[in-house]
Amino acid sequence: MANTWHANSYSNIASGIPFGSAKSMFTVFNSSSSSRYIRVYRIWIFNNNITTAVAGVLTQIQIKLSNSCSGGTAITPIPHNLGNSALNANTTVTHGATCGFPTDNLIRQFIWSNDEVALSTQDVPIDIDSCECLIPVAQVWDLGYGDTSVKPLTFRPSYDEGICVYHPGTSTVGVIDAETEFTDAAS
Amino acid sequence: MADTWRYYAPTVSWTANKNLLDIWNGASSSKTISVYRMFVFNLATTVTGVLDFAYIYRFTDSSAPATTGSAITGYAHRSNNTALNANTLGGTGYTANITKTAANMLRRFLFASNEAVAGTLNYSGLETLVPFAMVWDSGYSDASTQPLTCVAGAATGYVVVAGAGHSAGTTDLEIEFTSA
Repeated sequence: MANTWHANSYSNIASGIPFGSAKSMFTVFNSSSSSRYIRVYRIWIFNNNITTAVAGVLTQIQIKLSNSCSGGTAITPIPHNLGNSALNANTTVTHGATCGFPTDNLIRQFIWSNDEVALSTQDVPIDIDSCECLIPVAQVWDLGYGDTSVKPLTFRPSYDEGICVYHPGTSTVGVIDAETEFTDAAS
Repeated sequence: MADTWRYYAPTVSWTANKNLLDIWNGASSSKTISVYRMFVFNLATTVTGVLDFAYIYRFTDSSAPATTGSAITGYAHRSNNTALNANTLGGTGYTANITKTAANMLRRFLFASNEAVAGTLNYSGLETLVPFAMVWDSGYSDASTQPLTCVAGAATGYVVVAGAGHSAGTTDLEIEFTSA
């Protein structure tokens, strides 16, 4: 099996990734200098704001393919096996980067509430804000279903390729936590 | 297929920063332990619970988790599994030798420790349902990806931890893993 990695934003930014207008929230990118194949299997985003009341709205989240990525704050992926060889330095996970997108880059979009989770939620009928904190619901991209005839999203060596969790809206309140599971391999 | 095991910790109390259930494979173990799935069920009845985070960490302490907690005996998925290596250990409530760092935090998730209520679908109630209780899942049959692994000859463990705000309620926890 291929070297597998898990990267999460909260090990880097405990307060969560803040929403911004037209913002690249969370990105996995394999630059053309990388010699490795990166395969993204799963992405989770959580509405983990229980501390700050905000005027949240129903906005959108998009999952987009990217062809450039610069800036932002690096997140260090955690190997599933401590015996894994080091991740290629040209494979990066970031939040708040500046991404470029090729034509036909949008592969999924969905409605997202960035309102806080009310502390009373555990007692009252569930709402969309708290649903977004449940792990099966937070898993917004999944190619880890065991069918080897289906390719995960694959970013090849020698090409600038990646995936971005993107907020196309204008709301600037609320936060998300984000995670991804991916592999790196020589072929 | 590999010998498969389950650490099951029933009726564990939520307290602040508690190491709720851990698995540790010492450097003296000759076996590689692969953690596939972890479950956290809400078991509370009539309690003033709180809504706060829980966490999954890796730790690499060289000594076994210890002090004040309790050992957990693994259930074999098949009764004739070879016995677990003596250096593969499970425990609940241990306070020593589980060093947690931000760089080794694999996941954080919200957990409500209030009781479920009949006739109401709330957050606490959802946590009693098996799909929502599965807080880590590498068991999706894709041989291309590694489960969380404790390699033979290197001390490695994984632990489910209560957040600092937790103070009430009870939970059942499970870790499903293989030894090979």
